[in-house]
Amino acid sequence: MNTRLRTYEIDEKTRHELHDRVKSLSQVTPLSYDFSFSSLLSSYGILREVGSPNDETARFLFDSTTGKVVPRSSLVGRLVKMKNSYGVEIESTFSKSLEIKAYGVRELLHPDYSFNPDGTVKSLVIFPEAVFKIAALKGIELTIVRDWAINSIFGGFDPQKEYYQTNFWELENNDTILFARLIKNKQLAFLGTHDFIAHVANIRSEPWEKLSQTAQSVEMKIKKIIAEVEVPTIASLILPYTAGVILDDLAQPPSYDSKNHNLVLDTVLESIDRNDVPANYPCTLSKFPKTFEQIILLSRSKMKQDKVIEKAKELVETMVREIKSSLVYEGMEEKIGERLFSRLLRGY
Amino acid sequence: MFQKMMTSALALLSVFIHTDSSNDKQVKNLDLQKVVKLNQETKKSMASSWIELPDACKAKNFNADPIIKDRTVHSKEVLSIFSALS
Repeated sequence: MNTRLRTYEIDEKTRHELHDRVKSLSQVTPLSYDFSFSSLLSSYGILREVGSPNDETARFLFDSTTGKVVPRSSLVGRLVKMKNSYGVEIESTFSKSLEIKAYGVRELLHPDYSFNPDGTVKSLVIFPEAVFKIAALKGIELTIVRDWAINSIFGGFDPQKEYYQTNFWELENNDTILFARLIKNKQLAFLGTHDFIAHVANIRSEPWEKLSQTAQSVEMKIKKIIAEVEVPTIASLILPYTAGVILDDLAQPPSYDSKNHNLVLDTVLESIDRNDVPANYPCTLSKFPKTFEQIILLSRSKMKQDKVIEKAKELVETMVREIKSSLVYEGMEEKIGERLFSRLLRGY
Repeated sequence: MFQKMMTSALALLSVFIHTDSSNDKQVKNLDLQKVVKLNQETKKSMASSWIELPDACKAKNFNADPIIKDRTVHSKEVLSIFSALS
């Protein structure tokens, strides 16, 4: 623990106040709206994930002596306060001399508190206000996304549990539209470890013009298919969810400008544009299509582009068939049964 | 007998066509509560196949592997940002 930084404890009252304040925000609010509040919120969001299955920094933290990744269970965190700035400190009980094997993370850490004299990392001291300003240098605005904060930081979701809960929420709430809107506007959420290491670390401004246009296209096409439907069925949200996962990858520095991601995304968007799985099918879906995984892996592959285009078309068509084959039309079976019975009776 | 079987087969076919087209009409007026209920049932029936999906393929996953070493240094601009905090 860095003894030069004061620990800040959130009590239940403060937590309630934070929650109430988040609920009063508009959907997307820049951290600069109120740094004191937003930095506490972002720090708290990161803290809740530290050492958990949802901690995305964990697999990039290595002991500099042994070269081995530190055990996830060794990661502990605390909130810290420096003047009016809130932050979060993450350290490993296993090692006081860490190497962070992800580009751009070091730049986001406070230089006075995070490093040993030999340049290794003793703890990750993150101040969201600083991270906001560093991202702003690249033309990107970090934000609080109200519904995401409510769901992940204050929801019944327990960050210590597996990913399943958060991610399913993202599918059923058609989160891709909101995510696409952020990227279109050159914004990112800053609420947890994923945002920190996957999107902000090593952020660069040049790819964002094209990325913003891609996001606009995603937003527009999904909005079009759900325009006349109050609540789309989950089956119809799988293609948009697929687009969202690919777009999330594209908004991560290691995948900026990835041609294969863009090619696969285009194919998914074409299917959405054709309304291959309409938003208003009255049905339940019995299983999540297996082809989804293959589509995502294809977008991440190093396959040659002409092969990717061909494969993407095949996989997306297969996924649509898979979705439609596992649809159970509500009431269909009973209706056929009744009518068939009565017709057969009349026929004989 | 054959004629009755043909009539039944045609009746069966007409049931499919009629039910399908009547579903199209119903779709536009689908009750909101019904969709919510259908989606809840989907969540339940899809749960096991959803869990089987690797986390790496779901949203909010960092698509990157650990690199060899990062020795990025703070630029002057970034150092000023941190100084202003202190």
